[in-house]
Amino acid sequence: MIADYTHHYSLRVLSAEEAARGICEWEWLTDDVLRLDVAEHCANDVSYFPFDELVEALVLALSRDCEVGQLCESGLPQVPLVADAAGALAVQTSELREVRAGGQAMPPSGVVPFKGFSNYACPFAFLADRLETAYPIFRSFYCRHLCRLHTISDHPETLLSLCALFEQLVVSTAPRAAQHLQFVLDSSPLRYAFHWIVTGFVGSLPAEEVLQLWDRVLGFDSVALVPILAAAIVALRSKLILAARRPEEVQLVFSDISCVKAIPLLQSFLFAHELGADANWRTEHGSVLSAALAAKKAALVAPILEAKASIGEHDVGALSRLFRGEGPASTDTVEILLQPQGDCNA
Amino acid sequence: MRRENERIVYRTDFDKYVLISNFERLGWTRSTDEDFDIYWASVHNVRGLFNPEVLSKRLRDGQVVNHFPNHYELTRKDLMARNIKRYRRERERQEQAEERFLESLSSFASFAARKKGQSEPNLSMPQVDRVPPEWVPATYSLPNDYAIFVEEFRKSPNSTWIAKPTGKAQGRGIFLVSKLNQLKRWSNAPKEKNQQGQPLPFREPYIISRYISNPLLVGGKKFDMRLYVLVTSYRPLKVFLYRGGFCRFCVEQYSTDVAEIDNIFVHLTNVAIQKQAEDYNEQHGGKWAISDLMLFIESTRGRAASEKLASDMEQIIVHTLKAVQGIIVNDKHCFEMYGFDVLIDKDLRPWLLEVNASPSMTTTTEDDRLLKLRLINDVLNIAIQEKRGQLEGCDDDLILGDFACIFDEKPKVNLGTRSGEDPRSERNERSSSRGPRRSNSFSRTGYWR
Repeated sequence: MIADYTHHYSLRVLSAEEAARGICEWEWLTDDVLRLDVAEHCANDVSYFPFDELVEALVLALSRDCEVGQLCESGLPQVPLVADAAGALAVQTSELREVRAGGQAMPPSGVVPFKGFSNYACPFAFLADRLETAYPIFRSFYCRHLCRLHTISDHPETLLSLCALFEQLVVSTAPRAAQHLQFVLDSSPLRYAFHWIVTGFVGSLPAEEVLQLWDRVLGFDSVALVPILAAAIVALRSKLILAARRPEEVQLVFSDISCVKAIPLLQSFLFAHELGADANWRTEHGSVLSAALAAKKAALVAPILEAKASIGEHDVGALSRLFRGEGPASTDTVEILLQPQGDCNA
Repeated sequence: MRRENERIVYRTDFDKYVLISNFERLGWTRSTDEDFDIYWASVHNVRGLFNPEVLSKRLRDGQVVNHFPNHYELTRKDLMARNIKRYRRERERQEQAEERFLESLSSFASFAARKKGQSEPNLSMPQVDRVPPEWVPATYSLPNDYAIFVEEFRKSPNSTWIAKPTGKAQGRGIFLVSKLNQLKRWSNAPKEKNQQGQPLPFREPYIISRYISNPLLVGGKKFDMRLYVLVTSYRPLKVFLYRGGFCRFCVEQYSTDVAEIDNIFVHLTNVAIQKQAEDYNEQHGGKWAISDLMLFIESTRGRAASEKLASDMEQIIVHTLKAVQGIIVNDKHCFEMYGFDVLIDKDLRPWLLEVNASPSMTTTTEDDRLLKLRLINDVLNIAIQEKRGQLEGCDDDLILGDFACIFDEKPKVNLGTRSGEDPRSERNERSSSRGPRRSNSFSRTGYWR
């Protein structure tokens, strides 16, 4: 399915030679950052460690790919770092187009790597054993879907709206657990699920489950399935959360989801009504499924698409801090951010 | 064997955490003498246990030991190679005779059918019983087969060979040979000495086999697989395969470069060796789950390829055991958990490197420890149940844990099944309490994922 997808969208793909040459010819400041990231995450992971060299090649190639910045459908994930002709770091501009003459985005893709960035490339190492086969798939999927998982903007289906979707779903499907976390433990479900959402579950779920989930993301053309699954897991473990009395116990509940089967859980979470108690739901309700799915998806995603949360600078800063793992954002700020706005600015 | 409410007594020659903690968790008491119900012995002590001259040490009814008396027919590299070679020759001769018989039978049958105006019948040999193509690389003993080896070596000038001492483990003493003069390392090695310090007339026995120089690489690195196989009886043969096998990776990228021929970190996958490499990682210890390998093969080469590989691996395990089925002393007190070392080449063909009688119970990572704890737990469950079942004639459902029964020669409840069939290929009344078994252990479509 992923292979068909790349043909359909006919992106100009960085050829293998260009990608390989790029890696050898120039050293970018971000190269060491990426290599360190690979060494810390991929090379230590029990499932991905054989592929550490391929993963390193994938992320390095992506960082040198100048077209990524334009290809990302939801815009650049963050404000790019730009160096002027003299090589010094220039004043930050918010749009790549406004780069001064002679300025060079660093790294060339415009995407500044962060801790755990190399996780995005890991599952693709299972799909192909050579860079020239794996890179086009990785690049397309990244630009279309994965970049949204770490993009902070008001574009639809980017990180903020995904987090909002998650919180809404948890509140509506596991309200007692959510309240328990909020008032008794002074925390929130998002604090624990944030890592899952940003990484797309890489490193938390087994490789096969991640690939199956990403397959569905591709099929339904919506990365909203990631927070939906996160909410489903919270709902699955709501009883355990309610039984937790201290933050360490909650941490334990969320720490190991390696036995979760992503697709059955998603199916039962989304289609509980249709499934009912009927053992033959697959055959009898098969035709109903597609219609139901479209309706369900619309129902879930529409409020997020429509609501344009007006996000001020102060709020973005708070979420970015949370995002970079620099200590807890104040609960109030996070609440304000994640409540859907009453008035929709069209 | 004592019943469940009586205290079971165990004896062990290994003070390994994964063993002791299982015994203690089960509430068993430890003994150091002949009073035991179950004995996890070292191969050295087992030799004394089955020594016919020492009558006092004979096993009583109900005592269970974790080795067969002459397991070395399978676990010594030279004997294993010899037994499998003999077995293949016998089976091939048998198959040829059967084919000739079938041919003459079918030509007669079609002649008769044509005479009667009927359609021609289709007679062919069932594929399931065929012996697989060669799965042990050509092996010669040194010094006995030296001349034959030299002849073979000269026939294939660009080949590489690997020399291993018959009696050592953990990769000690292994080296690669691409030119005959490299064998001087073995022939000029200082001679072994006996207990009095006098040199023995022979050099240490070695075997030399054809080196598989095109292994399947993942991430550019060579690996081999450790599979755990439990045998509770040889006649009838009953074999269990553990789902949690793992791949052992080399730290360095693989290279057929002649300059790297002596680099053990490139060629030898033994954990004891790779542990000493500079880049050895203690988080994963170079151990990769076989289920991940199967996912990789399915993703890169298709489901058919991964299914075939899983099936081929089972085939070579079962046929290896069948090769020694006739010569192993089928003592009813015995079961054995083997460590099969299998290498896969680029064409997804599995090769058996060796069979270990005492697979290592040392653990290098947390996942490894969990895996081996569960392994021993399942082995003990199955062994005790099987031995009780054999003694008392009961046939209850087995608690298999992560094992799958891949071969069972015992005739079942009379369904008219042929004995020797894979129990899962027939609709079987004796389905496990966990539901119907559908496919083999490593198959990703099967129940055992």
